[in-house]
Amino acid sequence: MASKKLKLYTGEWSFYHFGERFVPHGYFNNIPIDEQLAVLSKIEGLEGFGPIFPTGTHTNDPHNFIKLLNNYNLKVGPILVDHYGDKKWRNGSLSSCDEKVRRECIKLIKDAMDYAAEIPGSIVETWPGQDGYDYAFQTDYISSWKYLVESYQEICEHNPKVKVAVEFKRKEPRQKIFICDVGTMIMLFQDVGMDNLTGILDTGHAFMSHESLAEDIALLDQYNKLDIVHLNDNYRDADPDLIFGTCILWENLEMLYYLDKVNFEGWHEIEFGAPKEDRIKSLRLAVNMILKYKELADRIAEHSHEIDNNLKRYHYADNMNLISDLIF
Amino acid sequence: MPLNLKYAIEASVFWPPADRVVPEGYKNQVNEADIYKFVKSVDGVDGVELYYPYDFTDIKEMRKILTNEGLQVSAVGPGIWSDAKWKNGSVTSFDETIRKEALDISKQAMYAASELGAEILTLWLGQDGYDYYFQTDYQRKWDMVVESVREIASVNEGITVGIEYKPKEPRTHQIISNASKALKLSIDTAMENVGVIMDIGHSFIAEENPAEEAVYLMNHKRLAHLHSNDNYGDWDYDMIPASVHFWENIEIFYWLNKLGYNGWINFDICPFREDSVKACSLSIKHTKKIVDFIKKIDISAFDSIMKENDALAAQEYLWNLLFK
Repeated sequence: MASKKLKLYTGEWSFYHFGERFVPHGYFNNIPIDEQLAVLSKIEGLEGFGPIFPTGTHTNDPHNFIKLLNNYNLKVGPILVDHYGDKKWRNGSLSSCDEKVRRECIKLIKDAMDYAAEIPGSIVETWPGQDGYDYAFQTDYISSWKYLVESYQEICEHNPKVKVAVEFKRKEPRQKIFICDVGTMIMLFQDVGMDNLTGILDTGHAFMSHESLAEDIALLDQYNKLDIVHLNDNYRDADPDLIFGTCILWENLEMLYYLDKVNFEGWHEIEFGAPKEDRIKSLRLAVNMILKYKELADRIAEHSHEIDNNLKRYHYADNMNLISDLIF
Repeated sequence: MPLNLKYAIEASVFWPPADRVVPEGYKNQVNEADIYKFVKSVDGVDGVELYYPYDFTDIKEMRKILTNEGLQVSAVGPGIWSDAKWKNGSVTSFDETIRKEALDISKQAMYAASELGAEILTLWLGQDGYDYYFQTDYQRKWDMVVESVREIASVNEGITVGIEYKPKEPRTHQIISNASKALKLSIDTAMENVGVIMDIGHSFIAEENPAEEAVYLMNHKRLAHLHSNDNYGDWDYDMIPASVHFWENIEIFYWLNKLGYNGWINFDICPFREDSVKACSLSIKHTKKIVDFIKKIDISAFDSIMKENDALAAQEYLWNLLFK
């Protein structure tokens, strides 16, 4: 059986200036949206562009935005809500103890849902990155979790037809982020209890949480809660958003094998940070790396029956012999 | 000679604390003219640590401000990291123009240190490293860093060039990543005025026990200077000292006292969301409490415990002394 083609998109992040605390103004100048889209349209294998709402360069009218992307033969990818990139969220957004801040964040995400509702098949991404803490004795874990659950309930009830996705991450910008791993994210889904709340697997975040990507996929798929995968890489300690496949080989390969196994049909975001490299070359390399890994995973998938049998009998060595002969 | 500490606050504590998620920073920019008033208002502060040219370019003007505020200078560092031009390294850049500029700034910082009465140059080579495998020539980088540090240290042998090590950030890998490599570098230069700056937070990220590394550095007479902050051992969040690692901080100060460290401790903290003056005051307060505590330890009694490798007796001794 032929494996599915990956639905690849990238977002405005690929063209970011990549400022950080030592070089806050970043390493690059901004690239106008038209130039960004022109670059993307020429990269074979890329299908979509994901805007940032409301701070990004999308148009105010979703129909105009669809038209703009159509001009470049691109589809609208997931819409990322910026509820983290301003100092007003410094003590949290959806879990803030300050009701005014919480309400502002809920409204912002509802606005993004209204925008997404006009775009067929669109999905809203949330990343509660400021919702966490830094020190022991700094936060009330009980009320913070309650606010987080209530906020997501209200958001999801706003329009059950629009999917709202959550992205977990262990740390940065907070030292401890509440939604820190796949298990906690699933607990959130269960506490919220809404069908339109779903999950994002960011491969770099999962590595930082010392998780196995394929296992995460299997777990999320059991709950039917995987809609978006973000592809990047790291050394399992921090989130430098390195180009996919440049650090870790086996788990990345196993992940692509499992995405195929669970018939994943959602978006794959090419996400990377390239403060020291040429951004466009990095993007091209990222696409190439993903497609090469996918080719290897497809080669392995042709032997899935044998691999499954080996798994059942705990014959790891037989599987690894088979796989290494297939790919090298 | 027992421990003799002077307390400094890094002026950069009052820069707007930014990160890649909020590059504009979590707080409003403090008026630059007020920074030294804020530093002076920190409880227990003796001095300030500066970066040239980020904190100042006019030495006379800087001296006037410091005199007015009654602040000494713990150390001066060359600003060779906070700009996109350093993205492929500073004193180990393969671009000769960039490397020369980094060396020139470092030599100017040596001069500024001497003019401002500081005895230490803080040399943090934050951009000198790599991000990916197969990206850099490790051999060439090492030769360049040894040669560069020698060149900087030769400018004024009365100033100690302190190599501040750190495993990562902003690069995923920095070449001077831990205490042993920094010590090796200082020895490779064959200069007596080259030493190591131990940033206690960086030591945690390098998965070191700071006390053990400080002992080795002091045995080699290469512990030039201390920076203090804390984290969870995985990232350089520059938190308030001893807010995470309690016993490790007690142990390092025990050894600094035993071996007679006589110098500065600079608080290189980054209070992203907290009031900066309060965070600095708390940092000094924590440290002074630790120093008071370790001075109560009977060194000869504790030596006897350690001779026996008796971890249980050591714990009992410390707990009885601390929580009586």
